Amino acid sequence: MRRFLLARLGWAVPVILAILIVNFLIIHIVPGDPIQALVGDFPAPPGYADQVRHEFGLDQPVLTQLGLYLLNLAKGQLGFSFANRQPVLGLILERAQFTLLLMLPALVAAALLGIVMALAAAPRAGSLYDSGLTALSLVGFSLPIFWLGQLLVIVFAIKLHLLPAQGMFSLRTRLTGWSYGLDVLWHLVLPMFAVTIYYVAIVARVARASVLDALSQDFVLTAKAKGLSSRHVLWRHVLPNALIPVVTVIGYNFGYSLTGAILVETVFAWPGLGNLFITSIGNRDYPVLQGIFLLTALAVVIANVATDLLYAALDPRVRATRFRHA
Amino acid sequence: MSREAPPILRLQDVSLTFRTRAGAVRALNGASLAVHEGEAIGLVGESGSGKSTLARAVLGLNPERSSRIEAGRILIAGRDVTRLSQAEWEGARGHPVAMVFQDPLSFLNPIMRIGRQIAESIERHAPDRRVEERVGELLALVKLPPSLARAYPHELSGGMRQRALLAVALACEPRLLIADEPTTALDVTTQAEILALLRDLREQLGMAMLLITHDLGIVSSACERLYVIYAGRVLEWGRSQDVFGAPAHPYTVGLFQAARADRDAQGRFATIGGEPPDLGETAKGCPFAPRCPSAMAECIQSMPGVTVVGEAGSHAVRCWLYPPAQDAAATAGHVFGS
Repeated sequence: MRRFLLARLGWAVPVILAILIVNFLIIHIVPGDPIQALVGDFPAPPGYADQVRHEFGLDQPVLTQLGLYLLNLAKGQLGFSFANRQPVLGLILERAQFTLLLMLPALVAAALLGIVMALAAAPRAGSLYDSGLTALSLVGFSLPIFWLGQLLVIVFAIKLHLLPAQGMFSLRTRLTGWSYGLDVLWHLVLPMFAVTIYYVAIVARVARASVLDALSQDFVLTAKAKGLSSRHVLWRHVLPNALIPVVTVIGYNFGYSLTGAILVETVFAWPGLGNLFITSIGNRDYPVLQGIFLLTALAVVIANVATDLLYAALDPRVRATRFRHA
Repeated sequence: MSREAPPILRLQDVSLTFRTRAGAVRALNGASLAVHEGEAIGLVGESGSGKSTLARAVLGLNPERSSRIEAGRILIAGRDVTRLSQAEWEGARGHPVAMVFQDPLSFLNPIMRIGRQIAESIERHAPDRRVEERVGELLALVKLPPSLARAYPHELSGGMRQRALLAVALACEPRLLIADEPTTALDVTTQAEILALLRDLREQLGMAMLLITHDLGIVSSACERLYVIYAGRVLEWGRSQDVFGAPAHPYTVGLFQAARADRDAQGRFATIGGEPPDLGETAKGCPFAPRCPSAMAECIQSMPGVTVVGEAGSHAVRCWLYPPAQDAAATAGHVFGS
């Protein structure tokens, strides 16, 4: 397992290097003066252009610039956002927290719900419950998430006045401690619901197919022939074997969850990374966009590595063979 | 061998159909057989003859929604299991009847350690035993080193996997072991080892065995009695030595010729002409009639009754070539061994 881990991490290194280089090149692809592009639509203070030129070494050869860029990254310097008047790294990390607060519980809930629904449906394939689940997940999967979000706002916030329509906290009061936490939770309900519905549909579809496939495997017959209960067979034999494709889908979505929430965050004015991304495009705030690209790319790589490690944990055959010939 | 106790397994005129998109398929058509305590029985037939369906019917393992036992009874140690629900089957499988399957790789859970797969049987059927110790005993019984308890199926050779699968079944402490083509997926040397192991285990544990195979050689060396099944019907049965000495049914004769690699007048290998029948058709007559070299008019019209052949009364056949007995039912009962 340790060798597998090292091998997998070893493969991630060149990918991350490539990401860094592409991200570095973005600023050279941006049309117009890079200094103005870096500053955005704000008047550059006198002397700032020289400072930037010096900091980024823009008069030097590209390779030296790349070296400087990597050096700055290593020091945690991703630039400064004039639109937000703070360093990019701090800004992005702060917003990423809010996105994770929304996406992590939603994805975990969707994964668990989707798997449980599939486990209930697959053994009764073709039944009313199973067909209903398939139809519902198709609908859930096809619903535009921004439309669903707006519908939720109209029904639960505007008509029923049950839940807040927008934002992450109540603006009229300054809350602290527990009441602050509860207030955030209160604002979290609708956007999280919208995200969860979408991902439940995805997970349930994949999980149903893979549970169905596992159920038809020969070893299920052996397990039954031993006299095990169908519940035991389902949870101990079918589920672990069915999880591998499901883990792929969930892992993939975790990777994109940082920016995957763009639409939901826009509809619900959730101050996460997706929201920051949209505003930064409007402001042509390139340092922030660059930072978000970098973070997202890293998140995808990390999620993929984590998915592979989960494979290995789930399936001994992966541990044995995956990287033997690589 | 006591004939007073009910046989450990008895099938009486079992008919089983599968519902398919193309219509109903009759996989078993009035199949009867009996296995007594400690006996080794062979069930011989070619692919699609219904032998695996029969084996699975004994443990309620045919798909619940698409298969149905239309007629007949299945008795395990005298208990009628013909109409058990899936929930009732959960309490009835593994003991007294356990099963090993054909392909030892696909029939072992690929991501569960061998020891755990054996332990599950122990926990289910002998919960008072010390599981780890018992796993070691069972591995020793099938001549595997105890260290294999921690191995995964893909780390084992084909022969070792079949032994492991055998240990899983033996952990149920069965009185009857059904072995569905246990050596088909193995090479010849390993086949011989597994067969020798099965014979030893049977003697050691006093367990009966129903060996399902298409290989007559295996039956002759391992089984006391045998049944020949074709298109879901048992066509001939009797003591191995009697059937091997004087096969009665033209189908059995054909099987023996093919197995001995006999040559015909042109020097070609003897085969049974034609194809196994389409089980969707509900033919009235003998299912083998269309391929039978000795087919007569009545063969197509109706299925013959049971005729005892040979002196010992331990060999019977259903074929129009042999005049039906006076009291077919009584004779059948005698031959089935009740």
